[in-house]
Amino acid sequence: MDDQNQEHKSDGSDFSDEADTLNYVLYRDRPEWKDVQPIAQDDGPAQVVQIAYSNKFSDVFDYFRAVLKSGEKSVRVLGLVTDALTLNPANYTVWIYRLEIVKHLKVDLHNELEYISNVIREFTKNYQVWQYRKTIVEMLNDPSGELEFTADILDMDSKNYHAWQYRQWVLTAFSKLMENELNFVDNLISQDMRNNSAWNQRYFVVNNSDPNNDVINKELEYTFGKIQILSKNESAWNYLRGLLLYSENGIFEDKVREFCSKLYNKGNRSTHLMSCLIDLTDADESTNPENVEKIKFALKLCSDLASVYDPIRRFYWEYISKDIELKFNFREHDTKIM
Amino acid sequence: MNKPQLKPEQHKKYFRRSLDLLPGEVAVFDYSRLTILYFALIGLDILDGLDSLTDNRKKDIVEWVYRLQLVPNEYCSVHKCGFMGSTTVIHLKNQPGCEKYCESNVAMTYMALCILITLGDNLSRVNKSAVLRGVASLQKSDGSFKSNYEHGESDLRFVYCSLAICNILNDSSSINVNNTIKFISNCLNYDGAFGQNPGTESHGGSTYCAIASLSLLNKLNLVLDENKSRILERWAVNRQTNGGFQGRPNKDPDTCYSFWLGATLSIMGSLSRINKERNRDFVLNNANLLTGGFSKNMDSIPDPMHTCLSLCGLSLIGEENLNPINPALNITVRAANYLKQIQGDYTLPNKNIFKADTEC
Repeated sequence: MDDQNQEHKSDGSDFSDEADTLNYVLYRDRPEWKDVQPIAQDDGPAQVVQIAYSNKFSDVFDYFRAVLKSGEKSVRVLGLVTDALTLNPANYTVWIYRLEIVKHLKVDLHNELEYISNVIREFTKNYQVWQYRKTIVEMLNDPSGELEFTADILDMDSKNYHAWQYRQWVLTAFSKLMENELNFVDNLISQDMRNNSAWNQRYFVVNNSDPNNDVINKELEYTFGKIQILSKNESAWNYLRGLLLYSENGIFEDKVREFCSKLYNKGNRSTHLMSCLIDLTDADESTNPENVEKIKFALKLCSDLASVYDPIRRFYWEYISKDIELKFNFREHDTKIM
Repeated sequence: MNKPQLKPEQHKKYFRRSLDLLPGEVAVFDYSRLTILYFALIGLDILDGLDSLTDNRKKDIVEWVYRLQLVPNEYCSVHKCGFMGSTTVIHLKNQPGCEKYCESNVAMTYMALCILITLGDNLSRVNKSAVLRGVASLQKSDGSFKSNYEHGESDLRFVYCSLAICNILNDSSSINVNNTIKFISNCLNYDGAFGQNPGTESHGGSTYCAIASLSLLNKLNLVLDENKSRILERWAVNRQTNGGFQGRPNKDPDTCYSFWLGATLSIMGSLSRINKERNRDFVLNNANLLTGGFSKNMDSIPDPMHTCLSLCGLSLIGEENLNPINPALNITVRAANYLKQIQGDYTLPNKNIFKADTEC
């Protein structure tokens, strides 16, 4: 929701390019539009959240209002609509009308795909442009260029939510494209191990492949490798915990616990490592010495996180600590948080 | 270093300016001016600044909002009913053959209702049954909701807006609640938080939409058992970085997430687990002391959305001199109490609309 309102690109063409502005002829000064009576925006009697529209903006939308009312669907209106969308790609109605014109004029959909590609390159974080692309690709029933196109956009910003969401739609609607997706994701993770979007896509691919234990084991090893390089990376740790959702009878937990213990014993104090060790505490309510040690260790981790390694979340770790005491009915402890 | 202080008067001025006239650079909001109105009025209400608007001004705003309502008639089928976001194509209201281009948007309807309640309108002129039927017509078979009828996109944002509308109008009988809950569950990811759609990356905004929606339905525990709540709580608490909150792991903090994550944790009863002091400092350090308003970070200029959500975030952590908010509806507690009061007087004057399957 946040992206919607903040990340529309502001309209550069309307304000910044002096030369363009000089050559541009308003619709009201174009002889070929003399037959159309423009319709001004009707804001009623009161002025509320008024926008000081530029002349160009008011002019284009006054003519757009007029053709909407008359229902004209022609080549010149396609041009007008293109201008309107350059000024405001967040206007749903203009996109709806554009689609009607495209259908009516039987515009070559490949040309339309090229058009929307250019618009998306300019307004990469606008919802409507991606939605329009989806409609065109559905009509073409041809996804052959879609993975390459989204890869291009992700090359500009590898965490662009819109591009990832669209890419998942393509992969779901045309499932045979999924084959090479793991390679694509691998590449992105290699470039930036902190790219959480890429890790999410990895899970999306693995999850959709209905993985057996061998696959999960391979994924565990892959993730261990990445964590050993960058142990403070939350994305990899979240993925690791996600893999444990596939664990039956604790088979993967033991492996992860062993990995974590080794890392910890080597002196690693990544907050995510410590947090994971707390999660994997395999204690119960019994009072035998081994069990008490396990609980004490978890409480020590909480205490160290709260006071040394993750002080911004001090209140959180204090709460987790109390929760552990409660869970294991643990009373005789001396590992209190200061 | 001195602790940053909130300057309420400056932000009130910022909002009052936004209510009057906005620069041409924001023309991209031409089609959704109602969102700016919403952020400005909710923000003013949090600042306890609604009194600075005259009664006539409030009345003008209420009338402006009501003009955006589409009601069922021979030119407008009930599927399109609700509120438009602006006057851009208001000339098509009641124009034969133009129905396709003149339709409501569920986010705008949600915001319109919040604005009206905030200004003390009793919603008596809202065609409630038509609005509810309009919302119902946006629901897809997977339980999600579209933004608008013609080619609208669907995701958790519009699920939230739809449920908030049903909650405000006190009637969810027109939608399929079970399917809605299924959709929300399907958006739950391996890391314990929610993406906009099934499979997409967990995000602070969509997580708020999911949790607020479930809370409005009183079904939080149905989707999140104890273990899942715990994992989500950790994910949300982990979003606090450098004082402020980020929307996704390994991204930069942004003031609006002090609301999206703050409200999520508040609804879950877990807000005490965050570092309120550092969150407060981060948000207040992004206030613009010259113009008023808050920006998303140090590299940006203020905008009404970040200003309102910054104040919402500050209100949640108990900032002095700010009115408390209802985190699930995102209006002030005062407005939410007023809503409770008027809900008792609702009547459904157009009940027959529910029976009519054909377009009017």
